[in-house]
Amino acid sequence: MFTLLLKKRRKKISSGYLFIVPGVAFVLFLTIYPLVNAIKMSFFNLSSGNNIFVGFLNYQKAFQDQTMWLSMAHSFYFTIFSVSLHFLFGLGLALLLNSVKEYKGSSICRGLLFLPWLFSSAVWCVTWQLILHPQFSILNEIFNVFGLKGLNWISADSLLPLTSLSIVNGWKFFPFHMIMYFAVLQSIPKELYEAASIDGASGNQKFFYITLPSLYHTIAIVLTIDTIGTFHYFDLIWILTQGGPMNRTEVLSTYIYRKVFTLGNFGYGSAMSVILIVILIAFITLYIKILLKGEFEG
Amino acid sequence: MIKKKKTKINFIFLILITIISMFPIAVMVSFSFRSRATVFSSIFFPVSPTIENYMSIFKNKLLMKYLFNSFSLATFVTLLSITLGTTTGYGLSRYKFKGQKALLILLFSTQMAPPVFIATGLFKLIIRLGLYNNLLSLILINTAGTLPFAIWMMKGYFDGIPKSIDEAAMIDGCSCWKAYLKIIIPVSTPGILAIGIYSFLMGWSEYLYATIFMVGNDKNMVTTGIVHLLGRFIIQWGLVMAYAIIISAPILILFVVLQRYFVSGLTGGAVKG
Repeated sequence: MFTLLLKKRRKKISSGYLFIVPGVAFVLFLTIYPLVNAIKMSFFNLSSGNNIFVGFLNYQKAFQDQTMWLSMAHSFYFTIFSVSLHFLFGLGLALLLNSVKEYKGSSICRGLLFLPWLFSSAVWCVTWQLILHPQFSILNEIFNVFGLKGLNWISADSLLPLTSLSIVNGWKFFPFHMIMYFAVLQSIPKELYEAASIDGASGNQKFFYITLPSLYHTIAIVLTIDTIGTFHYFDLIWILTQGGPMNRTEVLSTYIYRKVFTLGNFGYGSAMSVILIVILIAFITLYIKILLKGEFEG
Repeated sequence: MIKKKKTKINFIFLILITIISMFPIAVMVSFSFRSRATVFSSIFFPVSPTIENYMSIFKNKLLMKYLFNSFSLATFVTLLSITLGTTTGYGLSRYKFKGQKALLILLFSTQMAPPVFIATGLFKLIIRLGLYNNLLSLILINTAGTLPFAIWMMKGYFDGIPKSIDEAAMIDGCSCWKAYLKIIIPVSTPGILAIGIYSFLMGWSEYLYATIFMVGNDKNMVTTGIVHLLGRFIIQWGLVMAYAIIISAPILILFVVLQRYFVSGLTGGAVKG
């Protein structure tokens, strides 16, 4: 009897592995392998064709590389600006949508507001290329109609190009925040607000004591995912400016891409990717902490 | 009474913002109907609108090939994500073991790895395996990107299905695989649709890896293809915008038809807490 039970248990566990292993192995191989490989490559000079072990030379070079520091500063600027836009517009619109949900047109507005998120980065950027083009910008044409002077949105030698890119990014990804917060707002039981009204709570009090606390957990998760995603976002900047003019919009991911895939400098590019990963790990640790906290509370 | 007035103002404000947010899409539509001669003769509405851009795209073999490439990529990524996502999600939901939580977190963290980093680390392996300029490379890498979300999502979904259902099936003589395929999968359609849509969208939007691993005129995806159209000496904006609309259409149609699953898939994971 006992052995039968043991056998059954063993069988159950082994079929459990059959379910679990293929998917997990698939993901881990395609992410852990490149991770290990890139760390290995970062200790070699691979640009000359033969592999020469150079120790920490690539890292040393990276820390002395002005463009690397500039790219990193740009990455932070781009991330902070974009994520703030996503958050402010996302939360604002979620609250607005929630306040007018009895109107029939509000769900249509919600669908339309969601659209920018659906377009691929390529389509989105190609369209913005037309809107912000150095020679025939649609936006500048509109400015002219109102008697305003046009700007070199993505070709000026200032912080403007990176700012423009942040706005283009903000415009594309705010719907993600919006839809997440809206889903939470809809799940808050109405009775809570009714009870608060009976107790004489003002609109502001209801917002700060009921609405905002219910949103905290989701806001934390969405902000972390978004910060990480935006920090290594590549497509938008590469398609619109390729890091130019004169490195004015170069961020870490475009700089690494250029070093590795246009100049073939795998060792140096790998070292910089490792630096990028280390920054991201800080964000990821924060994210995991938030997730675990939510699980224990929920 | 005052409250009603306030929501009315809110609603008007919402409509206004919606209209403004449609600006880039309006540009896309407006320019797609302009011929080469009239492309810059007005700002908002095309002068003498024409569908010649759309016609020339449908006649262009290369641009249609890109649609086929992207369609193949997105379809295979979707199928693989669904197959592996459901089985792994089911396994993690039904069989508990030590360190499972750590595994889940590790799995989810992999999604945050920068694509440029993955591409750097995989480049030589892809070449060595002969997967360079082979769609399989993009299928595998993209599936590895969508799978953690699919597993996470399906595990959550299966957790919501009572275990007694599998047990009842097994008492009736089903093996655990049979119980899984015949009983569990059919009741999980909404979850499967959600991860399917997500995977398709990711495959369809693929850009970075395609610029690295698929080089050659007929190897482009729709994304790299449309960016190539910009690289020409004289940009035909009408053609580019018409192509932008054509390649966005499949996703927009999916969204309109399956909006409910779309949104539930996106929000399902994070809202639970």
